[in-house]
This record gives sequence, C-alpha cells and structure tokens, in this order.
Amino acid sequence: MDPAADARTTPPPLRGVVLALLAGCFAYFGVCYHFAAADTFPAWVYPGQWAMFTFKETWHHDVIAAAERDGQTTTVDLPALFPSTWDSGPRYVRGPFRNNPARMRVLAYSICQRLKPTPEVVTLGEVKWKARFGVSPEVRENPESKMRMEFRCGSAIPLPAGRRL
Amino acid sequence: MSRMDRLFAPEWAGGWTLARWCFAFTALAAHLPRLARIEDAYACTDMLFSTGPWRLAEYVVWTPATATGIWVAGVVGIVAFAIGGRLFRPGLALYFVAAWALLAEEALNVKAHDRLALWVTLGFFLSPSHEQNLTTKWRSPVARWYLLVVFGWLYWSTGSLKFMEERGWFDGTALQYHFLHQYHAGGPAAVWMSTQNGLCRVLGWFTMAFEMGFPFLVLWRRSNPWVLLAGVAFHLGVLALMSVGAFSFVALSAYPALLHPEAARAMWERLRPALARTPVMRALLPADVGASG
Repeated sequence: MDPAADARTTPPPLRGVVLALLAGCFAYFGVCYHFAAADTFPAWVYPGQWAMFTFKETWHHDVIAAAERDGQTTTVDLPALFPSTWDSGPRYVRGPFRNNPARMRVLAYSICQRLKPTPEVVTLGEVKWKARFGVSPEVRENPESKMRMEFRCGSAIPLPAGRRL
Repeated sequence: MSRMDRLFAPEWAGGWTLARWCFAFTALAAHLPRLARIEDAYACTDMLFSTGPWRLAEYVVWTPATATGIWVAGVVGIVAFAIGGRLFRPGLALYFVAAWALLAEEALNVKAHDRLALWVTLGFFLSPSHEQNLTTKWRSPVARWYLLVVFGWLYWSTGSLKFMEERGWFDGTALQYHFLHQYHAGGPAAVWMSTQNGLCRVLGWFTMAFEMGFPFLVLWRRSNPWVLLAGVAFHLGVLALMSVGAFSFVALSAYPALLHPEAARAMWERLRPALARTPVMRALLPADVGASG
C-alpha cells in the first residue's frame, strides 16, 4: 500500500496542520507552567495550570459567622445554610475565598438572603488551629479566632466581577 | 516511505475502546453528584462568582429547572458516548457543553480534575473511539500524541514545582501535612500516615521521581508500561488515602490510550483467549474477542 494513501491515518494535507496544532498545545502548556508559581497570572493560563499539593499547609482553617437581630446574636450554621461541599470542602473555607474581602461580602450578603428571619447584621470571622501529626483535623486544639468583617443586611454589593447583587 | 509517512504510520487502536469506557465511568462519577448542588451552587442567585476564564455567571444565571435540564443533558451525553458508534461524538459534545455550563456558572470550584477532563475530552474528539472493533484496527497516532503532551506537562508541572518550591517534599513533612488536610485527607489511615516520616519521605521522593520522569519514560516502548504501572500505583494510593474528587479516575481513564500501542496489543493478545470465554466480553466485544489481531 502507498503509505501516503493509507486511509487509516491522518491524510497528508492535514499532517502539517496537526503538527502545528500539537506544537501550539505544547507551547501553551509551557506558558502555563511559566506562570505556575506566580502570585498573579493571566486568566487564560488557568485551564492549563497543574500546581497541585505543592506547598505544605500547617494550619487548618474554618469560617465562622454570627447573625444579629433585635439585639440578639446567634451563631450561623454555615454548613446547613450552604450545604454543597467539594473535595476541597465548602467553597467559603478555601484560602482564595476567605482571604478576599469582596468574596466574603458576597457570603455575608448570601447569609442575609438565606437566613429566615432576615438578620440585621452578619459578622464573619475565621478560626484556625495548628495541624499536628497523628491528630485528626477535626480536633481543634488551641483554636485562634479573629473577626473579619461586619455586614449590614440590605446593603447592595458589587460582586467581585462588578455585577451587583 | 517518507519521514512524514513513518511519523504518521497507523498504530494499534484497541486501547481507545477501554479508554472510552473508563472515561464514561469517570464522567458519570464526576457529573452525577452535581445534581445535589444545583440549588445551592449552580443555580443560586446569591453566591455568584466568576473567576479565571469562567465568566458565565456574569452573563446568565441558571434557574434550578434550567440547571437540572443541563445536568440531565450531561447524563444523556455520557450514556451516548459510552455506547459509541454514531452517538459517540454528539454525546461527547453534549456532555462537554452541559458539564461546562454548570462548572463555568459556579466558577470557584473548577478543580484540577475538571480541567484535566476538559483536555481529555478534546483528546477523545481526535481519537477513533467512535469506531467499533478497534482491537482489530490501526489508526492515526495523533490523539495519543496529544494526550502525551497533556499528561507530560501535567506530571512535569506538578512534580517539578514540588521539587523546586517546597523542601518539605524532600524531608517527608509536606506529605505528612497533606495527609492531615481537612478535606482532601484526614481519614484514620491518612492521620496514621502523617506520623510516618520515613514512609512519607520515601513516598515524597517516589511522587517527584514519577511525576518528573513521566514525560520522558512514557515515550519509550520499554519504559512506557512501567511508568504507567507506577502511575496506577500512584493514583490508587491517592484514591485510598486522600480525597481529590475524580482526579485519579480522570487520569487513569486515559492510561489505556497512553499505553504504547504495541505493548497494549501484546497484552491484548495474551488476554484475548481468556476474555473470549467470559460472557460479558463476548456480549460487549463479539468481533474483538473472536478475531485475531
């Protein structure tokens, strides 16, 4: 059989195009790799970034919330209010979320929306405790808490991307 | 025969059949749990975010009914591409659009396995997986090359970053702490592993050696099956001790297509007589188990 006429493989006119596309794909991942350890990077490299479990995390974190209404403050059960969890846990616990005031404001706004009766003020805080070898992360030894923000329900807020809620 | 003809010489395509089934299982494992998150995450009107290139929530917010319809379309797509034949590519496209209509809406939780599934899905579009009786056919190597590029960069990136950026991967402490991760780990076996510095040191070195060696060792016929075997051990270990969603399944589903075609064919020929005696394989692949390669 003439190899150039072999119908089982890529036709000759397409072979150059295919190699160029593969080279482009290779180069794209190379650029993504270049930005992998950077703090900031263009959005278009995100789909090709593979920095996974690179750095050790020596602390456990959680987000805590309280709602105030008629002078009474109650603890908000966040897992009940936002039940979805992924393999990385609830979204509001992730570092890029809890360290971002704009995102935390959206969480506070959402607590106001989901909690019935609607509270007047929502406060958000963070609790962290040191990871210790051999100890389950559920055991909160010597936890350290700090308040992150206070949010007055009824306020309109811009989303991190500019859209208004 | 020209150099280009030698480069594009057709190769045994049987691995794509197993890859298709494995990827269908993986897609179901990743897609089915999304139903439970629809009202809270994929179709909610309060916790809206857009991040990275995933900007769908800036333009459209799904209603729960629409998001449920999208989810159902994704399931239909997975079933269609699992069946294969003429349904394969439309099914793959339907799954691809439906999955990303939900992921791009929620945006914040687009995981590494979601992104890897995106790249693997594109590889299946290039593949001959829509054809039946692939164990008796030879096809273009392009789809396999593409997966080699994707997985080569995937493993190299994550392995070399560990090597260069975190000393804890050398002394075992990085892995010890990862076994204590609140959500990605933290089960009884992982908590026990966190006390085993010597073992974690060995596993840390194995992880870096496997990940950094993969892009090179996978290319050669002799080392290809061994590095993939190391990859199976690596991903099953992660699956047993950690919680990383569908990552292990997504990665392993591409392995049958990453296996060197001649090594894969030799394995198939060894297994075929035994498979031909099993009613399930005779029903699923009658022509394949009955025909000689």
